[in-house]
Amino acid sequence: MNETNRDGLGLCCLVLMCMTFIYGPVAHADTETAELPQASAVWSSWYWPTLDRRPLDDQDMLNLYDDGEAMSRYDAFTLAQARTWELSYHFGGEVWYGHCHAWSAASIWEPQPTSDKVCGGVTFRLRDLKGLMTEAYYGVGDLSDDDFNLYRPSPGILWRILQDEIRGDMPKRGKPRGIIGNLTTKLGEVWNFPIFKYEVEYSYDSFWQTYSGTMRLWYASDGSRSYADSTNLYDSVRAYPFSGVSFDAQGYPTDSGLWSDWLVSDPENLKHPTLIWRPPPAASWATYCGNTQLEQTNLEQILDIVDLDFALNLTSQNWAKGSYRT
Amino acid sequence: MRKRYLPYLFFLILAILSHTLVSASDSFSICPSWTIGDWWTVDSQLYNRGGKVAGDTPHWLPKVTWLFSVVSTNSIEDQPCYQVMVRTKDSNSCPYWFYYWLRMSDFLVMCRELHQPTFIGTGHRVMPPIVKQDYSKDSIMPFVPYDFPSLPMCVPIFAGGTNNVYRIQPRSSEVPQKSQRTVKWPTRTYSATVIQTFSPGEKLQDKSMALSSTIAAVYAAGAVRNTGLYTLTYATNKYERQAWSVGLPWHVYTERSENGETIKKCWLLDYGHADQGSPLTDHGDVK
Repeated sequence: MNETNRDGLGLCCLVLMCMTFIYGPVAHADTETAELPQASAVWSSWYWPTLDRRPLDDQDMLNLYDDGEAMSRYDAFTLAQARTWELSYHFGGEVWYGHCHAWSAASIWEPQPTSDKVCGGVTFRLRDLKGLMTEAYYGVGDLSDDDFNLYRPSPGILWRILQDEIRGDMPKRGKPRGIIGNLTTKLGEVWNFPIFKYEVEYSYDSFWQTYSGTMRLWYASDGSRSYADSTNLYDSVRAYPFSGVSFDAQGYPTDSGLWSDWLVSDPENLKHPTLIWRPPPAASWATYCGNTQLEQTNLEQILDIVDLDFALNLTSQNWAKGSYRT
Repeated sequence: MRKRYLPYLFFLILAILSHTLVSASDSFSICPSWTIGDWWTVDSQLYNRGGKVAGDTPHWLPKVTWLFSVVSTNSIEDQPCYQVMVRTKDSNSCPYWFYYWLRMSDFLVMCRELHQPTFIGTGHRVMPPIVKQDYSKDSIMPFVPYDFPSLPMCVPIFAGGTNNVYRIQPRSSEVPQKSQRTVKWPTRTYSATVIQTFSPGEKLQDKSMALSSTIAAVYAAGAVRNTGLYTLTYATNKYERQAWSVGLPWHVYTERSENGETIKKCWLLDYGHADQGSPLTDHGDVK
């Protein structure tokens, strides 16, 4: 957004806030919340950084190209050069560079691996299976055929997407499904997460005939390497204050409203989602796979391990803690 | 002194009125008339503004091609409609395809069916193969969906005058109770308002408009006349402009702009007519 637009937006927001303060905003408050059904649940993992060591403390980052990790195990099984490829093409960058977009997509469309698997005498641990799935989805970053792709979405349109896709009012794919949010708090960085639950606390402003409140998004996290070794869901939540959302005649939010930080945006502390998107599921493991050393037949052998009873009914003891795993 | 200006004022008003009337009639005449078997192809290109992948910089994504085919005419809610199939073509990797029903009189989109593969290569979860959305005939809105961004399926209403404002009825009462919420009819756009303007005779001037050889030949032969420009403004600083021409089945060139950036371009590539009953086989490449 250019400076003129931002100034105009800021002025509008200032006027809106002043009028809200003068006239009193609240007619009555309500809370709306929804989360994905169990069968559509997402899973936690690690963001598989591309940087080898963390500059701050020189700590090893656990990369897909590390010796003994997913790519080298794949090579041991297939005699391919996946690890070399990974070192050549997914190496270096900033400390936050990694595979978060690919993991987010895989966790929405693929059931979580639940146990180790041995192929040709090579053991693929839980984190290797998650790592291979993630690598197989790496190419979703440069797609034209997303289900949706909204850069700096308004609070109204995001609310509506949450209702459609998470609550299941009008899901694009016929069933509730997670959505991906770049929820970075730092301008210019990319932190994608699969969103599986939301809550909106809102109140009606009778003067402006709009709604204000706070939107909370729950997402599976990739913030610790240990998450890749577990079937537990490690979740986090972000809260985004908003104002000025108008509803249509049926009571659904329209593409409207402002996030609180659109008045004065702090590049180190963003309080709005940068991007909301979701790719289609992969037609095969090769569909989005950028690593040319990974092949469909081998990946099928390693990754087609889905215990559908587990994924769809979730009767296993292995499944995670959390509010929607009863 | 003032009276000397009255005739000029009268003619000025007359000119404005006549221009408006001509424009209104032009807006009707530019609506394409399809027959079963008509097909056309459209290239679509999106601008990736970044934010998906670490280290990504904004850039244009490769073009993807869509094939449109009029497969049937039928009625929805007693409204005569064209049934149009939209599928991927050539290198377009999109795994799904669509049916759209457009009301013949004004191209109001009445229904959409999303067709998707069921269980394929990977282990992903079962989804219904067809997802259908019906739109009410009583809610007149241009079709400006936020989903499936590469699909060149944003459709104006071919009715009314040169300037039309379409509004979703705002809710003025208090917060609706959850039990009151039923999605009977999804909306054609999630914007509260869509402003549609039609500028007869105007062309979309852009150096990237480069027409396909087929369409350029049609223009060179003088077979196309009565061009016009539709602008669909769906939010502040967000709009799509479409250049239409009488005699061509779809918008010739389209640009979508958000917050001062062009984020999408579409080009009509080719068009024709297949044998009835097999509109796709001659122009296959259908996944």
